[in-house]
Amino acid sequence: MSEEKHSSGPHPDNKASLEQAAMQDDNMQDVHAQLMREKEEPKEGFSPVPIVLMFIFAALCFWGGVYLVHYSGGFRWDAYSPNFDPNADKPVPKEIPLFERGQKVFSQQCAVCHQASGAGVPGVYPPIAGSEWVTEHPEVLARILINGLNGPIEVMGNTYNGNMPAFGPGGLNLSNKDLAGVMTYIRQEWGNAASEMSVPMVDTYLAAYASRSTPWTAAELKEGLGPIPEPEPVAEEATEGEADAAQAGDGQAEEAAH
Amino acid sequence: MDTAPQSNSQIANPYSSKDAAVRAELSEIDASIRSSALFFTVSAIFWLLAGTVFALITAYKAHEPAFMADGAWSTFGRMRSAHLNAMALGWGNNIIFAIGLWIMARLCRAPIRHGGMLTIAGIFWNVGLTIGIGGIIAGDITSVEWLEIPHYATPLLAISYALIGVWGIVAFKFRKGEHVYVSQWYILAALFWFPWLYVIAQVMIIWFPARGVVQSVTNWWFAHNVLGLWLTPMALATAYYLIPKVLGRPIYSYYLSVLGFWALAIFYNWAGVHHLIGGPIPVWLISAGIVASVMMVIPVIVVGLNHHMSVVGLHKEVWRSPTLRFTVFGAISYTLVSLIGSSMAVRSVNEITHFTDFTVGHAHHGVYAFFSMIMFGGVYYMMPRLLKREWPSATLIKLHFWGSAVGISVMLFALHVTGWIQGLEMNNPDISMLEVVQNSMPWLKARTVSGVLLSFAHVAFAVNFFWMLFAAGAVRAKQGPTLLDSSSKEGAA
Repeated sequence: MSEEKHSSGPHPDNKASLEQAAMQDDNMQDVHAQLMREKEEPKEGFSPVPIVLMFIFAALCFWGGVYLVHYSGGFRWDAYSPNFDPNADKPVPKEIPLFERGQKVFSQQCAVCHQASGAGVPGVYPPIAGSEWVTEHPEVLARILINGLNGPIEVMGNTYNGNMPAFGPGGLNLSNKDLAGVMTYIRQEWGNAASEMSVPMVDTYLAAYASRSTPWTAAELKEGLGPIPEPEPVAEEATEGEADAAQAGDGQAEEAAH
Repeated sequence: MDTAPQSNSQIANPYSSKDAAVRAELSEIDASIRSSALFFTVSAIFWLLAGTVFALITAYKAHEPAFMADGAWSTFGRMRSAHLNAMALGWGNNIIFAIGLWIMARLCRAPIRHGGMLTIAGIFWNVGLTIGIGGIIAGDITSVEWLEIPHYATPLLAISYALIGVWGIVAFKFRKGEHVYVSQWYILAALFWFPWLYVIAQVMIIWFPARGVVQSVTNWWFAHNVLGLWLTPMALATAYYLIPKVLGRPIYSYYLSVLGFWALAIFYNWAGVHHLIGGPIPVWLISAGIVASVMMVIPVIVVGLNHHMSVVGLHKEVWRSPTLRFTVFGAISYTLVSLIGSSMAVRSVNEITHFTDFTVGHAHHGVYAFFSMIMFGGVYYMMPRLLKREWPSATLIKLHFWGSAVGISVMLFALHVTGWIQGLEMNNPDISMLEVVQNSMPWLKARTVSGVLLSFAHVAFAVNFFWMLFAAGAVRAKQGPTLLDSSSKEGAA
């Protein structure tokens, strides 16, 4: 503020200056110099908040949420490590053995025709208990279940002429675990003593035959069989992802065939 | 307010400008708070000098352990704590009581009535603090960082604080005018935050100790919040007042002010727990502290932008004004120190900086380069108004500024660099602790040099201050304001 302003003298309207009228102008200007040159009391403008700041803040809030989800230890009082996984100590659901799973699937899907005893209905539905189609090559059994069977077939000396539906992706679409279970069950129940059929084995057969649209005939079943796979020591859990991958692979194969 | 309608020609005359009535009121308010504000400022400067002495001893001992090692009273632990408390509660609180209450009274247009009571409460505060720091040096120090003052002094501090803080709240209660300015929000909030922090921390740690790690959580909740919810809002309030006051330009954006204030109020309270990263407390608490620390970026950007946009284009005026040269230095430091602080809370950075001199540097960055520099600016603005005198020597102001600015810059550089190196070396099991310590020696010596520079600055400040206070006729107001640029006589204040 300029010096000249001090020389302009007090205005008679000013209350403060009237009260001190006895004072010399010089003294008074001296006393009030700081006050007079002071700028007005502060005010605020109303410029809008830049929009880019709002995006930055939104991003920060998002980051904060994600960080808390990952490193908050489930908000538990007894979690001390940032890498604590709140689900780690939950009991893993126990995997049902293939045999038991197969038993259930069999009673729901197969027992109506082949009977709970596995003996079938003479002349109409072939038996499973003791059947060489069931207990010999696993691929034969897998082919029947995945794609179904049509036409005459000789089982344990009797000929049957029926129609077995498909349980693979082209038919009733049982999961790979259900298929492995039910095949394991019928190969090991009622005195049958064949090897287990693991989920990876079933996945392999699914990959090979899921795209086939027609049921097998008895003659076809015996052709082009692969070697009997070695039963794996521990049945591995096949994840959904693997099954999906297998199916995707099929799709590609199909397209290539076209 | 009954202001007579003014013609354009009359507005040009300062004695009849439309805010003449406001100016008369301000003069009354300044007179009402003069004696207590002077008392607090004088006390603050004494504590600043005492704290500087403690600081020099501590800094020197860091590389010359044999120095003053003969008496228990002068050991590193006691000198360091005496320094911390003299600076935080002596310099910091007294200057807040002076400038914070003065700004509050002015913005509320409410004179402080019975100011003598305020001064008496202030005397009790300083007596309590003297007993407390005497107790620290005598060996009654508690083992809790930031709460080292022995238990027999703290009740007096708490009560005298309450008697001082209530004046700001009373002034707010009797305010005039509809609009509440951003500085008033910060000061009012901080006047409530500080006693809450202090009393809770005293009760839960000293008087009726909570069990186990709850004490540590409370300790860092307190220690970090004293910086963020007491010193920070007071310094921001001062900057928000001084910048438009000196430049005669409104603060850039009311909306940014609102956003900055509430974001600080919401996030800061959580942030202190990041001092306990890796500690045995529930991890969600630490993670929440980390998130809150990073979210502090929001108020920091907002306040920084608001200050910057209010100043932009007027850098000459800023450089010329003693007030703004300090204040703007502090405001810039606020942005820097806060962004560094947010990054220090992130786990991967904290692994390196924790338990090193990096943290010490960060603390000085906040309390000195930000808080104290703005408060120096406040003193340079307030004193001429209270005393109706001008600062006797522009040279001493320049000495003060350059001593402080260069001194703190050297200290921050030294401590941040050595802290980072210490962190990397301590994380490497092949390097022995002794090597780590030896590698920091040159940097610790640089820190002592920076302390000497700061001491010169403080002495220059004190000399100028007491010269102004006692040599009544030395500089008369008519000679115009004391500015830092010789070519500026016809410029603005």
